[in-house]
Amino acid sequence: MLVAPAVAAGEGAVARLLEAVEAHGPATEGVTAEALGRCGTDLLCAARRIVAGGDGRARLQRRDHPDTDTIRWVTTRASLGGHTQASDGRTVVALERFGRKVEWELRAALADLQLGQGLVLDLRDNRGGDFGRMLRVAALFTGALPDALYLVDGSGRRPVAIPGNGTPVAARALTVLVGPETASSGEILAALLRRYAGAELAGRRTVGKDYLLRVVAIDQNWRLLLPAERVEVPGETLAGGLVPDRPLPAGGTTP
Amino acid sequence: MSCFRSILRRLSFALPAAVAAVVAGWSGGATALEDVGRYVYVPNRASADVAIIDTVKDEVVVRVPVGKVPHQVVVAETLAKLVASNTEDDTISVVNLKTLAVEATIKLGDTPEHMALSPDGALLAVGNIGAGTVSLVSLAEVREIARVTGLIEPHNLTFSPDGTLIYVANLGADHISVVDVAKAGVVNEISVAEPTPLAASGHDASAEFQGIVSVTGTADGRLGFAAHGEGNTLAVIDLQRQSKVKDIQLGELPWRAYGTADGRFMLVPNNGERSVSIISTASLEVVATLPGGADMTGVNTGWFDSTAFVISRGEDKAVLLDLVGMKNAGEIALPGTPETGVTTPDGRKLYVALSEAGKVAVIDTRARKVVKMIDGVGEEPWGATMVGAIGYCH
Repeated sequence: MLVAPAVAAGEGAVARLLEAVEAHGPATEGVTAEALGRCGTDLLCAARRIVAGGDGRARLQRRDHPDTDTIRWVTTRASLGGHTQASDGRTVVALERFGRKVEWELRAALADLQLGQGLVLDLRDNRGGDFGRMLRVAALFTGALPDALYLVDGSGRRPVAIPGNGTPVAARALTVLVGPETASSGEILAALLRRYAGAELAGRRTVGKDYLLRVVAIDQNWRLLLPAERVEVPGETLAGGLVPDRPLPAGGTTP
Repeated sequence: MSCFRSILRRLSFALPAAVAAVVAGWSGGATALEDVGRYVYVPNRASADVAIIDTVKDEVVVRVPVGKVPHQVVVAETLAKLVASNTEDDTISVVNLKTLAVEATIKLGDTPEHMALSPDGALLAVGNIGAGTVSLVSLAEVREIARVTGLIEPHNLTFSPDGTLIYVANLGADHISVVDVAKAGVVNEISVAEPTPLAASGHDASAEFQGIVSVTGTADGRLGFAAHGEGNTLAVIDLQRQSKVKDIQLGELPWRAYGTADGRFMLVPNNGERSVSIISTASLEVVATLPGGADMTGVNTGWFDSTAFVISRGEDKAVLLDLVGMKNAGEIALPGTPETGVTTPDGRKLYVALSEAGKVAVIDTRARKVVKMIDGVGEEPWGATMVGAIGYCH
């Protein structure tokens, strides 16, 4: 457990960093308060020491400031990579990221598509993203679910619900494609859909990144990504990678 | 030589006004804007000028050249000055409204965008969003007197009623910074939400993160309302104690809170689900969540605060919300991409900048319809400001 080093009065930024480390930083136990204290009020210095002294999962990331039109949400990258029709009539939708409009995009796309033959959700290029948005995507298929998954850290294990956001999508059969690029929120989504929406997973083993990162703003240009809670989905094993139910046919891009 | 300099100096003041007058075909004199409260001021991003619209005739009377890509305009009534933030030039233009000449162009930090005027109108705070700094500009002395560091993509700025503090919404973070004007420094940070959780491999932390857009204060300055884009919450801040008193759950990806003129409600567009949350400032509860539109960029109220006009940039319309019955009341199609707008202080008319059309739509708030389209505004009008009206920016 860290002890806050002496800081100048009114240095809320330092207090904010230490609070985040205290609350979310089980992977930073090797970082000493003394080491942080030597940084005084230099937050970037403290963040660098956290990265260097932790277990290797914390990292500093330089922020490229989005242009103001993006910030204002005039432009936003799409989350869906398009959709195709498989030879057996099923609709294949590629969900590549969890962008700002992901829930809206996916809901609108699914409403426009004929899902009578079933839906294939392709997560093979999905490397994860915002955890909350991922849960809302899961809700499109599962509906609201209490205690759907758990976050585990030094203070214990706490349940997390999938929020309700309308009537779940009705697809006769749901298949989720995964692979070695499917990571983090991508693989957690796959696990939730298998567990609670009856999805079949096809493809190859996923990355196996089963913990959250908390993003702490250090200054205008730097963000500290702090490893925080581990994610558990009952009945699923995320650590080491999610194992699909069956592989894809050789050379096949759809099941 | 001295005579030559004198002529040059006169020309340097007179020329911009003359050019502007030519642009608008205006033949008025140097005291055209004696009643600065009668006009709507519209920054034009592409034509790099500010259109001044007479609200009696609903016509453009003049366009004043400023710097490149002006984002916002504020008007200091007592000093008769107009200021435009020129995001491309990293400057602000200070325009004397009695001569319509640019009095000074002041270099600030990277991308000066949002501005706020102190209650006495003498001090201007400008957020340099690209630099993470806030410039404090004395409008009497027409110079930058201090630059505050330690902000994280400063967006909207809010002065305390006594003008001693500025609450800075950090778009790139989860907290509000409190700036002490006298000390010209950050003296506190108010946490609005926990650090955003990600589950990502090689994730770009900069990707589309939306922290805090605005701290919208109540008229008495006691409470501030700060929506957190990623957390889907509205934090209620006790501004005197500088601490959060409550979180109110909103819809998906809330933008910011807009207050009604009577102070009874805060309205928050939720862009992720195209809805609008209406919060009572008395009970601090959501009293209604009504359908909105795509890419909502502003909310204005009018006609005794009976109607809210929600600007939907994505669908070229204003969605009408009946604030008496708390229900949708139709919509107004707009012939161009609406950006933001301003309601006249008497609440009767709403002026909405239409960027693609280069026009401003005038809406009668009682009749709930467009009554005039103002032409010749400029290229890419981006917003609208009036003295004495509730002002906001993108």
